[in-house]
Amino acid sequence: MNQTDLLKINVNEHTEKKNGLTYLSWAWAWAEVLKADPAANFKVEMFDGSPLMPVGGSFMVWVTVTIFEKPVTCMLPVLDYRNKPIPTPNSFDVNTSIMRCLTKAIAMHGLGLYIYAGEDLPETDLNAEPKVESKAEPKAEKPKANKRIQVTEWDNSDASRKLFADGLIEYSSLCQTVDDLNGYWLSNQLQLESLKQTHTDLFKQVLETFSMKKKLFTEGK
Amino acid sequence: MKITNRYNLPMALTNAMMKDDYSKGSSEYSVTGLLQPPRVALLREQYDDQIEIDISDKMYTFLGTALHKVLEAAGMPANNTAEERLYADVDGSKISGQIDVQERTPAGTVIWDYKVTSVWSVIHEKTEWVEQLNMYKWFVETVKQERVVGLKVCAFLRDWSKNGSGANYPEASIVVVDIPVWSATETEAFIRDRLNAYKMAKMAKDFGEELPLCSNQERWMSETTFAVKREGRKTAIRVLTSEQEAKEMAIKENGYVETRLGEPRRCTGNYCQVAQWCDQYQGEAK
Repeated sequence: MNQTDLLKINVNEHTEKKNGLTYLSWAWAWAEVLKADPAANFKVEMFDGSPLMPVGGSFMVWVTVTIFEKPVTCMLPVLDYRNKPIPTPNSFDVNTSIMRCLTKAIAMHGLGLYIYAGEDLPETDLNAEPKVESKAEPKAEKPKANKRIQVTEWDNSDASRKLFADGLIEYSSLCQTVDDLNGYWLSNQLQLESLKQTHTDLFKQVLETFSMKKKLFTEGK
Repeated sequence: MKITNRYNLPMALTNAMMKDDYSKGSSEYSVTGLLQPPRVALLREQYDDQIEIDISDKMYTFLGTALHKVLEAAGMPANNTAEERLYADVDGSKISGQIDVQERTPAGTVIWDYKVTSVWSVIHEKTEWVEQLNMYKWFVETVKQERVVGLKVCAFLRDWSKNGSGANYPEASIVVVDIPVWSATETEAFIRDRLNAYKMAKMAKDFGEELPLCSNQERWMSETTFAVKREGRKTAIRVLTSEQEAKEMAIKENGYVETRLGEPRRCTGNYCQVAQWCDQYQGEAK
């Protein structure tokens, strides 16, 4: 698989509309990236130890995604639900912006890029043989040219939920205190609530990991 | 929730009273839900299948619902919008509020809320009303981008009496109460606080940790009073809120002071419906 193949992937089933904007699941997008290039990685750019770059009273986050050894860096402002810059973002706001920025950077490599371009469907392979039986693609609502595309952090597939749970468990090792763990949990609470309903076992795995780490921190170990 | 009918009320009435039309739409939190103490809401959710309520205890709720139905059935003036539910996304959570009536005036929108309530509620400002109506104001201004120029509660006073007297006693059984208006910034901060309280409480519940405690205000804590009494007399000479004043009077009257501790009326009367499972209340009751 190469960049051209990423451009052809139809992401329509993994988007959702919210407040007139199209959101793409970061978990699903990253899973597709890893399928294409297992060596892919991403990096949140830091500014004096902070992921936030101050710009005129508000903040930007920057993420670099490297696929097929090619790094692409994207920026995104930290915005509230009305898409207004947040002067004092909390951990949830920062987390949301970073994951949105991650998906934007992935799109710059080709995956879901067609949505940003205001198209309904990805590039088709003109040289490919036409299929005898084909289902018409569900036509997505055409985004208006001036609408900024954002991404969400959630979709319903088993794979993305597993990826989400594994990610939480893995990154919980970066937490140094109970407050860090609580903050990380709260940042993902909406998705965790959903996980509890649909994938109880995965939820329990995450809960047990966090509980164990909390206990260790509380006991000072 | 189990509904009982201890007083053998007629089926036609119980059917009507058991019908629950309440919905928070497709939102995660509603305005009225956010105003509940998180401890109460989460315990209710946990013990829903064990909570028992007698149909007779639902009278006031039923009267409130009936009032809204009658108003809706009568039709609204052209410049009024009734029972509109508005949605907003705050910090990733979808919240909603259903507004009884929005009256459009040349100056802007006036928000009305109809309530069946007690005389006491209009004599003493109810914090919950101020919070509720200001959240509605925030929805109208944020979602509909309309200017709100007034917040009003139309209160139907179930215990009003023609013979009632005293400072601020309402003149009629139906009165309009003006609600103080907050700024959008203040309300947004309040909404975030409530959301945060719920998020913290849910996390505590997931980890099996102690739920956040209800505040004295949330528990409807009554004030501790000091009754000046005398031997041989059944009733108090006077009940005071100051212990010092009570002691001074007791010396003058050759009596003694009886301390009447304030009590969390919401818990003692089980108005929260979960007092028996609440470790905060049960811990104190022991």
